[in-house]
Order: sequence, then structure tokens, then C-alpha cells
Amino acid sequence: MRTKSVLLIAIILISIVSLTACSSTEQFFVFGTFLDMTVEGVSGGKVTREVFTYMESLETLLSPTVEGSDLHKINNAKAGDSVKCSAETMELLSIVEVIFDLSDGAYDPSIYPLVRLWNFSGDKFSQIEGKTPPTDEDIATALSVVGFDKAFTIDHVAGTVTKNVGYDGAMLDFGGVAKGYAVDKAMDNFDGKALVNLGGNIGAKGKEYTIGIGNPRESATPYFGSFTLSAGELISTSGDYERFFTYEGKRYHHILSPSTGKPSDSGLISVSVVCTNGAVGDALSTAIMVLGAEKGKALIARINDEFDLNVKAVLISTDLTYEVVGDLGFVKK
Amino acid sequence: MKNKLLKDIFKKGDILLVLVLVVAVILTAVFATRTADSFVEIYVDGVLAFQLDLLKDTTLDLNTTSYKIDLIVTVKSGKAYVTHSDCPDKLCVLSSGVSSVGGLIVCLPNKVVVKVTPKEVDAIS
Repeated sequence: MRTKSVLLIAIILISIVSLTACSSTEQFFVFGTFLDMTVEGVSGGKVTREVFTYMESLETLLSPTVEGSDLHKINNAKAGDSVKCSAETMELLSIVEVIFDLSDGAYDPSIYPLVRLWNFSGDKFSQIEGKTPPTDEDIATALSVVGFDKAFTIDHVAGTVTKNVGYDGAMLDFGGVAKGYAVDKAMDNFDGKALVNLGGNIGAKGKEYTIGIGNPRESATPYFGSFTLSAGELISTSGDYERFFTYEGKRYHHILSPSTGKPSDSGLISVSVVCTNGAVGDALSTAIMVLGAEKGKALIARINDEFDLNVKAVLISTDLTYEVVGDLGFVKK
Repeated sequence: MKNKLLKDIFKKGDILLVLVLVVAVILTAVFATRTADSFVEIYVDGVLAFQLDLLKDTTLDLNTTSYKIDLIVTVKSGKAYVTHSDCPDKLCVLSSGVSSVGGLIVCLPNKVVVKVTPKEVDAIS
């Protein structure tokens, strides 16, 4: 009897140990991209499905193309009509306001009329073939309603967003910030060790993970280089290779400069930002693509002075040389 | 005698429980191995030419402007194969697919080596 109990307990313990030591990866589709979650431990499957459902709800809330979402209501409102928004939208807006100010408008969520003009929005990009760049006149028209500080009034007490007079055509888009925000929020759901990857916006919890930075151009290697993402950190990458078209031999990519209305031409083709806030990192990677290396590094230094976010970055230039900002332990492949 | 001893220690239900647990451990081990992703390296004349994701079905034709080798590597359902080669003996084409780390297919006449190596990164941004 005693031998039997000991044997059974031993087998159960071994099983529990092997189950908790294992990791499982599940893949879902949300925010127009793949969501991969690697979780260590037995309860992984349940948590990943909960996180997926949560991310779907965030997408519904934050996407400008989903009817009834906060952004859809804002974008379709007339100047002067206040739109009551969810706590999530207001939280994102407070982050967006700071990055817009600190980057001198290089990251601007009001760029959406331009994104649509260039057919880079998620609902249009894959459907339109034979893309051509818009005319300068059309760009100028779209630019006239771009400018987050001029076009919108944000009331954090009332929780409302209002288009200012003369900006009826203004529109907001969280495309450069929502995925980083969603990953950051998702990390709170995991108790143990987890890696969440939403289309390259990656968060680590409970342990270090080795992360590769994608090649911005065709290469024999599967990634450009790698570094260690510490527990609690997130990475976002913006590049000219993610969504682009070629017209008459010239590449037109989706990171648009809010000052020119055209694809950024700062000398950088890929910017990866690591920090402890997913939304900030996501917005910064876009801002630095627009600003270029020198202004980008100054922006990182300023943010690290003012906030406890430990921002680090890898900047890749058109000639495929690279620069690492901060102590990342980056190794070129 | 041996059977009697086993019967003394375990009842039918216990044996069932043990079997269920053993199956659970084996399944866990199988899934854990699968998530420890690997990729396929293709060397031409000793130099690393390509790296392919082992979990992504793909076909790689080496008859390109850079290599001009009449050989095709195919990755399907987590295994890498040489599916075509103009070499005389066709040993590489006849080789079984490789999927576990260390798995190797060699085409000596074309100086091509297909090798499964552990994935070095957990994710790519």
C-alpha cells in the first residue's frame, strides 16, 4: 500500500513538473496581423485565448475602420461635436499627446487623411493594385487638415475628443501606437513567463528572450541582428519594407512625414525601439523613422531624461549600416 | 509471480491512471520539442547561402543567377527535403527528410549541404 502511494505520488509529481516546464505557442489573427503567444506552464492555453479575446475588443475600440469604434465616431463627427470616448482611447491619447509634443509632430495620429490618400490604410492597401503616388495638389489638400494640436481638442476630464472649427475632414488613426499598446496591456494577463508577438510588437514577461530584428532588405540571413529583451521590456519596429509599393523604380513606403505628406526620407529604413511602455515604443519607432538618426537620438535622450522608460534603439540606415542607442547587447547576424 | 507482484502494487484503475500520465508526459515532450523551433541552413561550397524556417512550407530553387545549381530544396510539414538535383547518383533526393537539429542532407557533386540547426531567436521584430 505504501509502495503504491509513493509510486503514484512520484509519477504525479514528475508529470506536473514536465507540464509546468513546457512551453506552448499559439497563433491567432488580430489587428490585421498574426498574434503569437508563447507561454510557459499548464494554464497557457486558457490565458492565450483570453488575451486574444481582449485584443479583439481593443481592435474594435481603436480601429478607425470598425463602425461604432471611438475613432470611427471621431473621424465621422462634425467640427464642434464632442465624442465621448472609452478609458482606453483616452489613455492612448494622453501618451500620443506627449510623443507628438516631444517629437515636434514627427509622430502625428492625425495623419490618417494622408494614409488613406496614399492607400496605405489596412482596408485599402491589399485591395488596390498598380498603386501610384498621389499628386502634389492632393497631398496639399490632405495636409491642410493634418496637425493633431490644431485639429483636435482633447478633454481628459470629460473624456471627449472634439474636432476644431475648420477641421471637419480631420481624422485620427492609432496605427502607429495601438499594437504596442495592446501588447503592453496583454502582458498584465500572464502570471509567469510569456512572450507575446503582435506583428513584430513584442513583449517579454518573467524571463529574458532573444529577439531578432528583421532584415530591411533581402538577405541570406533570416534576421539583421539580435539582442536580449529583458523581462518587462517591449520592442516595436518601424521600417520602409513593411508596407510599400514601387512606382517607376522608386519605393514609396507607409511611414509618412506629417510635414511633407510623403514617405519619410530621413536616411533611416528601419527603427527598433525597446522600452518599458509598448505604446511609447511603437510611437517612437515611427517618429524616429521620420526624424532621422541625429534628431531621433536626441529625442530618446530627452525622453530618458524626463521619464523612467529606459528607451533603447537600433537604427538601420539606407546603406545598411546600423547604430545602437543604449545598452542592448545587440549582435549583428 | 511477477504479475502477482504487480497486481499487489497496482489495481486496474491505478494502471489506467499511470498510462494516462505517461501519455500526458509524452505529448508534452512532443509539443515542447516542436515549439523549440529550428531552421534549415543551406550551404553551397561550404558557405552559408540560405536559411529557411522549418515550420514554414517553402520551395527554394538554387538555379539562380548567384548559384546556378540545378537543385531544389523543399520544406514541407516541418521537414526539409532535396526534391530535385541534376547530380548523377541522386543520393540527396533519395535521402529521408530532415527535421531534428543535426539532421543533414549532402549533395557532394553539387557541393550543397542542407542542415537543421536550432533557431537562435525567440521572435523577430
